[in-house]
Amino acid sequence: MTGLGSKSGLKHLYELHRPELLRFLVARVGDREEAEDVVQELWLKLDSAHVGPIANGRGYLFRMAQNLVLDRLRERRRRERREHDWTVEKTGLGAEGLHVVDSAPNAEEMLVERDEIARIASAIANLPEGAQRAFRLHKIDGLSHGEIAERLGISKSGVEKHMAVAMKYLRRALLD
Amino acid sequence: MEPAMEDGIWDAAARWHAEQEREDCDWDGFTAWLEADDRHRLAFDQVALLDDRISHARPLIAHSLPAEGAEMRVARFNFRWAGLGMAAGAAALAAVTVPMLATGGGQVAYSTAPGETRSIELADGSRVQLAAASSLTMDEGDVHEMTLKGTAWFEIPHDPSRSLVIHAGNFRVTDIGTKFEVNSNEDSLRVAVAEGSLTVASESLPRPVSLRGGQRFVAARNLDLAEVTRFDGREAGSWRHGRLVYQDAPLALVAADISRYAPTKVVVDPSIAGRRFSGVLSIGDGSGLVGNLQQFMGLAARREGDGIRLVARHRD
Repeated sequence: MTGLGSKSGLKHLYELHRPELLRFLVARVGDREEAEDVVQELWLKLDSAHVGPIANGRGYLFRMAQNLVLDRLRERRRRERREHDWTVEKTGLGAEGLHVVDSAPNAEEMLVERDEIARIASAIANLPEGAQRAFRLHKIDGLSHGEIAERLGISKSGVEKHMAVAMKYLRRALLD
Repeated sequence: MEPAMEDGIWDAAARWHAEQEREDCDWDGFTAWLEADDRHRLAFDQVALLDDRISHARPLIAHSLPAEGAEMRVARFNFRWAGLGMAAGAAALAAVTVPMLATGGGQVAYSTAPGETRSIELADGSRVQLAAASSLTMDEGDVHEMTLKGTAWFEIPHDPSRSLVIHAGNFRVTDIGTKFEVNSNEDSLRVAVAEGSLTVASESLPRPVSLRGGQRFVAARNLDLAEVTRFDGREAGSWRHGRLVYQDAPLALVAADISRYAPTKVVVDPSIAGRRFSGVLSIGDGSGLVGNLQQFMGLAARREGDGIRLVARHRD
């Protein structure tokens, strides 16, 4: 009997749950074709996945799928930003053609990043006390929800509530 | 760029995102939520990307963050809470059956019942407000020494020519002026200065501790340390306005305060006595205090004799 964590175990689970994974991915990315792309990528990743014992194999697969979607989102955003900068550069270059001068965008990028970091830090510092404490312990100090619950003497769902409140405020402060 | 978003959608996205960490995350429920409306997916994208951005920029963000908590702490000492001859103090308290009593030997004693407060005016214009279930003894006439059990708010002008000592348990408060609160319990002590300065000393402290306005000294059994932290000076003596305000207060101290207002005595199980509480409790008639604290801290309450013991609750 193969353990849940073994490659054949995960692949077996994948085959078992593929329809649900696909349904989840369609809802998650909003595009059937791309969802099928991701579920295929997930299958390929299982080959190289190094895992120890897994308590919840189904959850593990969903989490993997979610991370693959996040990877794509991240890439898409990077591309959008680069294209945006490139467009700005292009209009500045005039007759010089389509070559993007390297040094200027990098300096610009650095300034943008530094400004963004400052805004994020400021937004975190302005969070309500309980939410700020939980958020910092989790995202900055790297504690798990369970460890935070212990530390603060609250329940795990209490920690989740704090995190949800934190994200709500941060999104409003940074993305609106 | 995007269809109009509603607050409720952002809230739900943030909640779903927080739930993902769970071992038993409800993926089916999440799928159904995503399917219900296109905007849900877009909202979740934003939340996930923001979270991802923060994760990747963590070291830089950490560097730019004002130090929370650490900035509040001014000093910290190793400290062993010495069990004082509390029996003597308790006996003195039990003996006081009228609000003001000339105890003989040139001393006057004031005391309050649970839920009651009293104002005391001294000859030199100093004022003391005694909180519930507390007692204050002092010299008749010129006051050079006071002994406090419980909580009191003091407004005493700074006068270097006068030597005044307030005894609180195993501690002495000296070099006094002008507005401060002393909260002295069997297992904890807090001295909070709103304005002015004073000194807190004890055999168990390595050296006397000076406090200025906006500084607070806390020591408690179960903590093995004493701390000086910054705080909002306006919060000192908040019980005078019907609120108990705490920031990182040892649970034992909070329980001692609550016992002054609640119908029954509240103690904290030693296993959790060192936990810290931050928050505001409305005093009201005192009956809701224990329940509120329980909810905040995820604690259970067990009847013990004619009192209540707070213990850890079995959590998820």
